Amino acid sequence: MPQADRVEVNRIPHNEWRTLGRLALESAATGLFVSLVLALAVFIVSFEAKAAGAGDPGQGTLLLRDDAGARTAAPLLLTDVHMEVSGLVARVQVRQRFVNPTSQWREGVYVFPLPEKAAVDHLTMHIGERVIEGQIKERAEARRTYENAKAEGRKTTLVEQERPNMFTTSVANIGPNEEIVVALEYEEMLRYDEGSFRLRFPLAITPRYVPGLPAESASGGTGWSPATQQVLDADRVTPPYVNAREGLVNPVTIVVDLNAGFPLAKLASSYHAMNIVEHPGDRYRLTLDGGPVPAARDFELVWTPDIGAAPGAALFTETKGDKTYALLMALPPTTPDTTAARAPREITYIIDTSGSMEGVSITQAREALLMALDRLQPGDRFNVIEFNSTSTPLFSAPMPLDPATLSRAKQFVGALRARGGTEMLPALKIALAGDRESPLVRQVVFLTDGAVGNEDEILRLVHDKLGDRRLFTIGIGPSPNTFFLTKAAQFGRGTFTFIGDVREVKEKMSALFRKLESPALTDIVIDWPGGADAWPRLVPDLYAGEPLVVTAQFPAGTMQGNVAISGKRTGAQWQKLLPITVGAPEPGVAVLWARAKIDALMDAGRQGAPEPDIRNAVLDVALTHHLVSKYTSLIAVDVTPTKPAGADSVKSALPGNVPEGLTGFDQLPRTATPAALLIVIGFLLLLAAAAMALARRYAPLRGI
Amino acid sequence: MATAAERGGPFGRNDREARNWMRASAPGIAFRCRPAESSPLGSSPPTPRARPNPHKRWLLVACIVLAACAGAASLGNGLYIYAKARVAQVLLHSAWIETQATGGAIKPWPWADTHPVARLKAPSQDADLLVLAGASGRTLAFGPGHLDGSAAPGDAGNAVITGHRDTHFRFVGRLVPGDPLAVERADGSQRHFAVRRIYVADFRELNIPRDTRVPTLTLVTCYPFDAINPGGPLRYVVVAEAT
Repeated sequence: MPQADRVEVNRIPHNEWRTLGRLALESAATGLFVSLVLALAVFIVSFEAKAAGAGDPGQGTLLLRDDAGARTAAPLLLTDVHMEVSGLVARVQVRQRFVNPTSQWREGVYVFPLPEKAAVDHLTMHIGERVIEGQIKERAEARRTYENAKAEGRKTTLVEQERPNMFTTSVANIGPNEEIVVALEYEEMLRYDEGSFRLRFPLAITPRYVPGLPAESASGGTGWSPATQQVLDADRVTPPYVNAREGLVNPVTIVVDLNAGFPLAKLASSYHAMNIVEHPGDRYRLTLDGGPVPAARDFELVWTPDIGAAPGAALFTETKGDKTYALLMALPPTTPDTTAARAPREITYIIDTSGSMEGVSITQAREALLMALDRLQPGDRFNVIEFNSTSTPLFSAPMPLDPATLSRAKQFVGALRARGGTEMLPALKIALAGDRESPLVRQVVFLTDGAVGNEDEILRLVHDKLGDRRLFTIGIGPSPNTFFLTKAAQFGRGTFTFIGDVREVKEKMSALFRKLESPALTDIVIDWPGGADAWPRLVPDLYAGEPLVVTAQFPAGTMQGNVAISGKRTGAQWQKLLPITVGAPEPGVAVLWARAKIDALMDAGRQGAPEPDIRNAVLDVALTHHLVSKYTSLIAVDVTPTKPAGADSVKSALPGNVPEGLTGFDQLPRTATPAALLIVIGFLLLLAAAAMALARRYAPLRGI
Repeated sequence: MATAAERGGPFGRNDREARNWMRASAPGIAFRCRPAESSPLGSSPPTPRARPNPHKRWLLVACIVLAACAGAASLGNGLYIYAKARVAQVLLHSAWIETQATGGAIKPWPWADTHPVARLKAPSQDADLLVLAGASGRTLAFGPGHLDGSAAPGDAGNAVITGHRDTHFRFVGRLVPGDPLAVERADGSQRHFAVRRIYVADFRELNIPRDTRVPTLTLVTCYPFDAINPGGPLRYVVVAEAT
């Protein structure tokens, strides 16, 4: 503003109404301005608060649509996991606390993962101080008992197996503002490989892809996918999940009591920060550092015995009733023949580029595959097959390795993006096509998160078409389908590797290369004395660093003598004789034997044995040993009804989290711009400025 | 910014004293509470209310300038969003022609972190848009974004495309079931779709199927279309299937 003007203005004589007008105008403008600034600040702050809240495990009320379509608060789920590890075995208690924050009656259904070899044998339902023991029943019968108890207003809990690594807990008649605790227990054999023990606890389910056309029937599930002709129980294996931006749900606490039995060189949690307290006698207590974590990525604990302290062979026994059970672990010596010429081979890499791999998983898979390509040697033949909704092989047939094919392959792999469905069958058909026998060493390396619903169908294909090939699976991502990956490797007579973080790629791939490149111990025969009923019957080939693990059952008193183990490695015979004696009782061996037997029976079913026979055999073992299986469930029922006859109860499917780092699941962006808001704010601010300028112009300045 | 005194305002003849006074007073209260005995102005005002307050005046000027600048910036930013949305589509067009000619992923401008993946047309709405790879906020400023992890538009499976309700996807709100949609792919092939379902859902409950037998396009945008707040939870979903 020119100064002359202002001087003019200053000369305007005083006028009372003008002063008042100026004051009114000025205060209105200032008020408008201040409120706009404040509104803008609140707007920005609330935005940031929303963004910051996304990483915390949600403890607040979760709103879900019920059957009727109304928005209602769902029961909350909090999980406490306590693992007791002793020697080769882990006993784990999983306490699921169902909290009903509403003033109505609720039924909660929660689909959750467990380790694929978990032998779930115990269930208790805790209502306040009261504890109700669960019973094992045939699945349909257990379901009927549950529905009847629910209708009668009694509290009841049902635990069903959907997949060996996926279970459903249903809890009926949770009263207003009430908490019901469901405590499950399972026994598990530890995985010992490459000199380290690994204890894995899955915490999330990567949403499964369901192939096939919609089926007429449904199987009473609460999942997001309808049943299809290829996956008849798809509605049971596709639990709802929350959008990660909404905040994470299902907080979990983990406590591990580790009694290793030998001094340790290393003890570490792979993906969660843990507090480790050492007690005398190689005992450790581990707790999560920083309190509960959201159930959004698998937990893994790894420990390595001191050099020389590692077990070479071990035998554990347990006598139950008129039977004695044995668990045998033996580590074949690793061959020092690294100088032996590596036979040229034909390797086919299959890489899953489906939508569930989007995010951290595809990065890990690409890194791992590029590393594998660099490992190829002159004389090898190779191919890469990418698949999602469709399968795309790099070459129409495996090509000899040369600089041109290698660079083409690297370019192909580098450009892979994850999207679409997970049609696994066609990709495997391409990889397993051709002759059953070949003079070459033929290996298939399969990188995937295994997030499919039709596991059995794929396993059947692997079994039928494998020929003399070997299938190695690499489990990718924060929460892969470990059941499918380990089974596919077993059916493919190969081995499996898990890569849970991009930092692990190098170490885990190096271990896999050792297995791919050193000769395996094959044709393993175990000769038990007397009338042993040993499982598994067919012992899988053993790769570098893998131990032999078998279980057997004897009529009490007959377990004596020697067990003879023999196998072949590159033509040479390997033999070992181990004396067996009933030692100190080791609880859990019987359950592990039963679980191994069920596993072998189910495998026979997957390979084409008639289902009624399998079902009867499994029922027999599962009911005797109190085990949850595909055909048996655990059920606990309260004695007296607590829900008033007239009161309504709403069923809610409790959602899980999308595993951490996966971005292919409905991570919808904000789809509106702030343009209109900015323009409105802009106009208002300009208006305010104009008003203030006007006020200033008419300001009476009498002080001069 | 010069103080009123420095610009020769009411303190013109006495500015050193004035500034000293300012320095001596506690910050923050100087403009509100002015002790009479420390006044730099010799004369005493008739009433505090009517007396021109030099500090208030200074504040007023600051407020005017600030409000004007902020207003202009805000207005400019708002208009810039609309302009960017339009201009980007023009730039994308030439990148798309090149994409179709070479088959590679062509960046529309050198620093872009995305590239056109398909051309989406809605003949009934005169909409013709280039769809970009990735559905991040950055991408959506320039065009509708194809959600990573969903099927490629026109492929078997469900291709999810998101767009801003107030720029590129404004037309989505006018689609009705039966309306035709078309997708042109990098290889030049065309695929035709028809709108089958339209619904509104809270994004927290939106589980869009990742795969479908029939090639499907799912267009997602915010709802309601004329809301001023861009952060609402509702989504407008249009599902179209291949014909």
